[in-house]
Amino acid sequence: MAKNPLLSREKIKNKYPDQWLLLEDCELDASTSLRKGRVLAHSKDRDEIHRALRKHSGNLCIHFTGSLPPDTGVIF
Amino acid sequence: MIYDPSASSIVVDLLLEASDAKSSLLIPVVLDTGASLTIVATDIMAQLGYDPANPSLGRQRIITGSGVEYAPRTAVRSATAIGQKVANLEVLCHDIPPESGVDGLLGLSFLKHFKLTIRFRKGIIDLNKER
Repeated sequence: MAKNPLLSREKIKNKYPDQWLLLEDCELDASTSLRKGRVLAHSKDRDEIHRALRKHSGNLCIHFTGSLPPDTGVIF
Repeated sequence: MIYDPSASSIVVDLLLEASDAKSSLLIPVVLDTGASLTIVATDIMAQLGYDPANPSLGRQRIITGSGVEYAPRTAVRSATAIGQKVANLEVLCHDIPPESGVDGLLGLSFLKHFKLTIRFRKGIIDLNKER
């Protein structure tokens, strides 16, 4: 089966908005931030991506393209 | 590195080396200078071969915003974020709600090895080795 194309972080965000993604063949920049990757799985549900992770091996990347709603704060 | 200064929290990518040193996983985490330890989701640690369910792992008492909890503690072979790498990093295996958009927290167990500068108005983070 043909692999998905290698996409930049910006193209990934535009193509899969507000989603969790599992990627392979990831390229990182000097700040260890994702630059490019090939999408293996995508979902609105993080648990689906964690389950997809179990089916793959090698050097992989989990990425979230969404952001918190503007009226939501975060404390841990 | 540059981040969005209008965002609710500072999210960075954390590269974790698997226990067998043959693979790695990059995950989104919140940079949290208020967290003593680095925290990674249990599923992620299991996938990397660290077996968070192993009863022989030490359990760390953690004080959160909502109370006191206990979580398994282990060390990952290496962790890299913001261009800097730490070997044998102490990590807590603990789940962060998916609504946060992250799979963990980058805490002081990682950050204390470096000089951290955050320029909040410009959205710039520098993490450098102390001289």
